[in-house]
Amino acid sequence: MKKLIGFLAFWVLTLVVMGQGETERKISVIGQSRGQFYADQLQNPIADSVTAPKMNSGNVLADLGLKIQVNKTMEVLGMVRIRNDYGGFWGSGVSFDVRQLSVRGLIGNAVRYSLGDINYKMSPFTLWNNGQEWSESSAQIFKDQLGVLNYDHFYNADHSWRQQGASADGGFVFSKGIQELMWGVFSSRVKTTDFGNVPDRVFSGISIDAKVREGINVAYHYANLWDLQGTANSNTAFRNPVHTVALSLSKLTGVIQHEVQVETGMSNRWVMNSTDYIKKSGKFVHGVYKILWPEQRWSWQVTLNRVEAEFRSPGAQSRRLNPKAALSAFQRTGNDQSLRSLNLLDLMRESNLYNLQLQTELGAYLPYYDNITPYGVATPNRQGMEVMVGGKSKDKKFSWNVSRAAYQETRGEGTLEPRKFERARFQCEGTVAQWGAQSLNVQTELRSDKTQRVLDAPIPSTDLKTNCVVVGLDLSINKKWHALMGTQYVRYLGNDIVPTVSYNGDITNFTEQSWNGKEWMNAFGLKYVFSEKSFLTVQNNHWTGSNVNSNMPNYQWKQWMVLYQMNF
Amino acid sequence: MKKIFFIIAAISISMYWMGCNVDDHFDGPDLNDIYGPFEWTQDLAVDRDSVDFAANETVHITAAFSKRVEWHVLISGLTSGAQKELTGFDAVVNEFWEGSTTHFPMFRSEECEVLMYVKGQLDTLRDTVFVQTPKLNQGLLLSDFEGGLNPNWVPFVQSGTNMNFGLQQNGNAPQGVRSYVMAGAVTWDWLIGMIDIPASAYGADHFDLSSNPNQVYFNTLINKPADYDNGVVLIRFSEDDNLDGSFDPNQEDMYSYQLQGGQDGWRLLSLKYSDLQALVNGNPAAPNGNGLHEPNKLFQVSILFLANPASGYSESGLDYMIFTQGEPLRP
Repeated sequence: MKKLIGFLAFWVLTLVVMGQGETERKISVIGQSRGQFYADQLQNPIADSVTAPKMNSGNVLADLGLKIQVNKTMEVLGMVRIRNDYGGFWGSGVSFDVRQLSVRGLIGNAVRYSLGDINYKMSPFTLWNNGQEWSESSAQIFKDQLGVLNYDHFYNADHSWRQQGASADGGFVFSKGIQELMWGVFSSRVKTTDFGNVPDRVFSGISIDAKVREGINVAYHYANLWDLQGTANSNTAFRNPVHTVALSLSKLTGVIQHEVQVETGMSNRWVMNSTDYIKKSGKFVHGVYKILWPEQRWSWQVTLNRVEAEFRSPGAQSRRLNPKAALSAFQRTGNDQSLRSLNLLDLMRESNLYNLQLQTELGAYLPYYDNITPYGVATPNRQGMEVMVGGKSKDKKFSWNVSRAAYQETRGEGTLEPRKFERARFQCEGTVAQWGAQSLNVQTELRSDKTQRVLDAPIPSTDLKTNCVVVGLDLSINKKWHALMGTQYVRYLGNDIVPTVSYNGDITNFTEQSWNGKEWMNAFGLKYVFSEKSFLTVQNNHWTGSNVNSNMPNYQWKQWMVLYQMNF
Repeated sequence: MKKIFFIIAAISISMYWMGCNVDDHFDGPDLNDIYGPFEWTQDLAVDRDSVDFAANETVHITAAFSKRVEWHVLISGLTSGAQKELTGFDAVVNEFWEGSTTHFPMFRSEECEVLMYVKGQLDTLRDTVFVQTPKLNQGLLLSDFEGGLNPNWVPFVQSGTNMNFGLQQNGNAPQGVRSYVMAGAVTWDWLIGMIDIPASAYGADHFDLSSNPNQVYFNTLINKPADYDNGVVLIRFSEDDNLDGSFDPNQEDMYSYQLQGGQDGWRLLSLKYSDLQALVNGNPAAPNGNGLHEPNKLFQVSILFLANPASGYSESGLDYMIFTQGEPLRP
């Protein structure tokens, strides 16, 4: 009822503003309308008289946003979500939520500010929303589902985190010395006090970026996740400041573009007035040297990265995927109603698995999906190099790259011997053939990950391999109709000694775990594109998998999905 | 410009390779401790055949293993049955036994068996050591009851049934061979019996104790038979605040400690003098004197044995009453 009242109040306020009749005031409606329907069937090879094998679900929703240009220097954006779950009628299953409420403006023609729900990012080591597993190179047919999930969780392509707070930025242009100086400040509330043991937790950041001269930039970033003392009875207060300095160089020599980017910094982490937490400090250094040939027909890139084991940056290391969360589709299966572990299909559609907020501790991850960079480029306890070669077709409709990375830990876990990691990857995406109005687009990724650590028996050595193949085809029959096909195959085999981490981040024990499984997801579908902003797609997805180390039977999951989406 | 790029590339690579090494320590417990093979790299060794604890000699116990383990050493007096336990989690055992006791009775002059075992391992290693003289504890010993009852103590015993107040030698003494038993049934009064232990019994007006109540500990071994939970032991400390050589309960401080129930058998009771409170009917109350804890003015210690008159027979025991300085008794 409160939500309904809030919704009505919002509309009344909007109408009042609209009714003012001032000439410079402009109002535009933005948002998204979507209908999504799932028909699922779980095929269990073992007799299961408890679990319903078929399940239908879905929803229709509209994100209605009003962007009000109050005056030349202020803009108000309010967006509400009206959602009706499949089967909801006469109010049952209907929800109203405020999806976004923000005010943006300009002060003195010099300072831009934003209040409320804002998207913010800094550098990959201070505030950066890393992509979830298998999301970087999906087939187009998988991207449609994934896009819904990312949109709902505010996972934007620019790696920004959706936060509730305030930001301001501005800049100066100088006639002497440095040419430009851009600055930005940001603060948001990450956690609300319970007035007892948990104080308000705030994330704040400062960025200063100086353009020394054409092609040379120097930047400083500061980010801190900290507790506001006095907002709870407890006098403990978490602190995690991160300082980084970045240098960016760009130079065209002849027809070849050279780019160098270096970022280095350090973090500190402690809890004031607590003896449980020992202050920990960590550093990192990250460098990229890139050479681009004309029109990016060829590119070469080498990346050096070293992130110490104690480096902690909640803004850059918070994970989207929480593999420990409960599933909503076929959560329990079998006559014993055992919990089903997540699979590739869940990753594309299961909203409960995804996190919206920054986390103080390193989140759990699945080593057999990604044991090398589970926290993105800022993954702690990694040092190594990656070499990448890539290019684009002459018409820039097709791109490819091949990369090879070798990493090792900066500090061993349970032994001085570090784990060693290797990754080989090939990616390509784009149009490979065109016949009049018809075209064929492909999306491909081949990836091979390896983790190894050889220890003297009987201490178990680590040997984990994960191989993945993704192939997507998008046949554009004409400008409207698309035939989509996609497959993703993941094979993982091996073992590792997985650390058990205490609440304060210390390793307290180890557990040997083995994985021997494979997952195969095949999909086909049709897509009708009404315009650049709207489409309708019908897709069939068939997931099969097996895991030797799991007591789950080798079930199959068939899914039909209808998705209509319209942006406005 | 090329130079700049080369310099930056060189700096970047230098920075990388300078830092591209592995820490000389690791996170978490040692994997060797969890998964590594176990073996005794050095057997249990006791550095002497006999020891005189009264002369401040100690027994040095050593052993070593191939990994860090939870090890246990159990030293048992073959005559007394006294036990000393040592335990730890390490790859090396390097312990000194100074004659103290973990489980009563205390060690006597006797042959002792030293056993060592490791959690999760089958082997138990054994050695022996002979205790020539048991450990001497520093402090003001009121009585260990070995030489009989101090004639200047003032006992009072009700004329109830099955009354038994006095020395006892039944092989159950936690120290030496004798202890003091307090037992009986009194149907008309809570008090079964008591002993007043005046400072004069030790040849002075006041006990020879420090004036700092934070440094003075009263210790005694006390017994609660498993069959009787109804006994209450009340220990009173009467101070001569005005130093007139007597104690006036209406004008001077009397601090008390009351003990009822607890674990069966002999246990060590150690009381820090500054923690003592004035009690009225078992409840804290304001002291009647200057309200200062002044152990140097302690005039008399009284041990009262009480029980609910309706609860029937009750029993308790005392042994080895001693004041210690700076720390509680480590028997």
